[in-house]
Amino acid sequence: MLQFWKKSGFKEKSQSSSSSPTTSTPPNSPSFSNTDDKQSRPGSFDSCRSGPLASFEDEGLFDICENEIPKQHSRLSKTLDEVLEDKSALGYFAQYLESRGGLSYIHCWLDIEQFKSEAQKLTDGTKEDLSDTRNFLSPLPSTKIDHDSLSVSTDCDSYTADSYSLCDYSSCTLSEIKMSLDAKSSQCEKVKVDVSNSCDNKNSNDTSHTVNFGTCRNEINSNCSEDKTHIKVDRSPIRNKSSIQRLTDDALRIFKMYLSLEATESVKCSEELRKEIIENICDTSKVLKLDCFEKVEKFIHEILEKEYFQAFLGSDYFCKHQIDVLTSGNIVLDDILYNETALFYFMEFLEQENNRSLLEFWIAASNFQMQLNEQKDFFDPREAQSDAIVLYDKYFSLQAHCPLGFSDKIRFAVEQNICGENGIMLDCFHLPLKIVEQVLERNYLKSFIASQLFYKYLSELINSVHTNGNFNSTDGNKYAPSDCSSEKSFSTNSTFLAMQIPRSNQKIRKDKGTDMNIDTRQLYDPDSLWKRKINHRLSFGRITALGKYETDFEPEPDTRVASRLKSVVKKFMEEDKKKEEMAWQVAEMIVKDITNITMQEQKGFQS
Amino acid sequence: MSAGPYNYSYIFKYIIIGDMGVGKSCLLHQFTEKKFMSDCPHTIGVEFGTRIIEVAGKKIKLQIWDTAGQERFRAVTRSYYRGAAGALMVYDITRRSTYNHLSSWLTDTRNLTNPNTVIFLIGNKCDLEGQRDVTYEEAKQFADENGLMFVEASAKTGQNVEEAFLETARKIYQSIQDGRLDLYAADSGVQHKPSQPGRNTLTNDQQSNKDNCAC
Repeated sequence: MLQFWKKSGFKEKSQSSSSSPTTSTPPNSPSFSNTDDKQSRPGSFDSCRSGPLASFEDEGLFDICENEIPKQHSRLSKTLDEVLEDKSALGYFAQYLESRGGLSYIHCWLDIEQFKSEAQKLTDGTKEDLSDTRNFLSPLPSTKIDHDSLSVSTDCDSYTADSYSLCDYSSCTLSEIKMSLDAKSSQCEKVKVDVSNSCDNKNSNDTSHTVNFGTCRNEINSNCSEDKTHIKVDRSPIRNKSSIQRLTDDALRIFKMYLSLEATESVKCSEELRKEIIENICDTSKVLKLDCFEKVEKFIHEILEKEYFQAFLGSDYFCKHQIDVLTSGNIVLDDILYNETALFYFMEFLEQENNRSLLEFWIAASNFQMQLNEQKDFFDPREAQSDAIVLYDKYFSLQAHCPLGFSDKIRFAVEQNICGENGIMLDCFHLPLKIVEQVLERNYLKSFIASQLFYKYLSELINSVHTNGNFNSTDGNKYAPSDCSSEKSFSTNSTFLAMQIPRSNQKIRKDKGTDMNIDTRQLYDPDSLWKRKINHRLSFGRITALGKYETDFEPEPDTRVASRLKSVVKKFMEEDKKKEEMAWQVAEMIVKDITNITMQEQKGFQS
Repeated sequence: MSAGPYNYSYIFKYIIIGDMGVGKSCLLHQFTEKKFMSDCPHTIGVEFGTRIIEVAGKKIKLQIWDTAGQERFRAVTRSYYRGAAGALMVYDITRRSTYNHLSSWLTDTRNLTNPNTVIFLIGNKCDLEGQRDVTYEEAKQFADENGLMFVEASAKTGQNVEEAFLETARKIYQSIQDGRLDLYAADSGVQHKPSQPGRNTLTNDQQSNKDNCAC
């Protein structure tokens, strides 16, 4: 360890001696240009810089970097919480769970989330009336709650108003997610009833729901006629009472569907958890506190994380999600850098561009930063400093084994961060990391996305999905007949299929396009267009070096030149079927002849 | 444009794992540069090396990710396991603790890579016979019990270094031929790079272009 301190001291001395002659001032205007190792700036101390960043100007970056908010997150790599928040990924995750018989977990999760969002609104609006509400409700066993829900006392206007107030975009969106997920579910009928309950303004053709609705209407009408004299006096508490009652009904429905012993979509929780939930449902204050299902959520989250999520990441459904991200046209650098598979291809791409060291430095420095962040207050300053010095020696120092070409200004800043008066700073490589990220994003990301490697990566993802694509289509066909009774479900299913098929066709076209000769030639030989013109000129005539047009069919008085061209053209036309190389050789001969004649004419003119 | 970087048919991704100080980076350096790096600083996170080899007449490019062995970098380097077609697990024959930790490294490898990933066990520093702390037979038995390939090597002398990397590639190539390793799975750690039909035209066009420039 003393070696490092001695080494640092020595470097500080050498740096101070070498930096004193430096008096050059950086240019006033910052300019971002492509890296060019051979480029040099005369009259500047920085001309001795070498490496991929030698010509990169970092003026102004000190201010820019401080304002950036680090994401460090790729849409191609997701944690379970990120999947649950991303609707697109959630859709694929639900399909995967269905294929493994775990669909009830995601259903239960979504129902609880919706329950919490509705309870949140009521809690905000009814805090002041909570004490009054207790006077109108008393704790009741679950069996009696059934009875009360059927004989609720309310009037028509109040009921309608409450229904509409609950039907906002958020609830509808959640319901729509469930609707699309349930397109292939055997529980479709029940879920539709639930959706209609929470979004009363939607029409439904389901006959069973119509019957229920009629029953509710009869109850409402009879109660109105009996309690007319009491409605006006108790209007406000009655509204709160009905809203709270609906929350209790929702909680009871979730319990019956997922948690009870006879649940149709049982999540198989423990007996202790079930009893605790029963107690929470019977206590109105706990229902309003939003946490009556908290332990169920934790239970489901643990099961999803342990038993399903890791396998989902390796499944075809997640591949489809990745394909969606990669073909969205909105790929950013973080999507590549923080996904190890995309990073594998990107590293290969930079290897071909001979700038691999940029990404190597980024990986090493960001890993250094990540492990320091993980240790937080328990990191060893001397250990961290020795790690930082290893990176500095390799990429920044004047004797660097793998120089990147950072400017002296950046190098001094890094030195100060590593060996400053206050010891090592946790983000000592933050500035060079940001510079490298900007260079990678501006100079390499677009060409990588347009490169053969990227299309190969994308086609491999597509191929892995296609091998099982037929199976998915068959499943879709099987579900279609059973959903014909409902227009909504059928249209949803059709929409899903319609969205899938054209996309696949487009991808197939892309895949084939990369193998066509014309595209390959255009990619590697942009001059191919004007070379075809040579063939054209060979057929009809030419323009001499002096700018005069001569056709092959009407030779000029200069018999010598014309006769040669005639004979050559005749040979060429007779050998139409010969290879392209022969054509190029003929072109070379013609050009040489013209060149020789032109040179002779010039000599004659001078003499 | 040089033809070198494109003159291969496959790209295999390797990871090198093992305790700190066992010689992972020296093995990589010996394989890619064919010389021993005596003053080797410890690896921060991940380092990188490439080399093109030939297996069964096919040119294969190895993309080798050399991970840090320190415990504090372990959580970070786990993210690079995914998609590796080959894993080289290294221990130091002169330090028993590095051999005792192999079970932990093997568990990580099994959990984080494909089932078809080829795992090669390397006992490094076999030139230090006088300080041997782990016998060949014991390590060989461990390798056989866990279905690993095994060899003792020396990054200093170069003994068996080439063999370890090449045998891993042969095993991976065999998996591709047998169909066990899905060439079209993006996470298999293998890229197939078929030869491009426009290559010859490009060369001829370049020559023609040069001649035309002489005008």
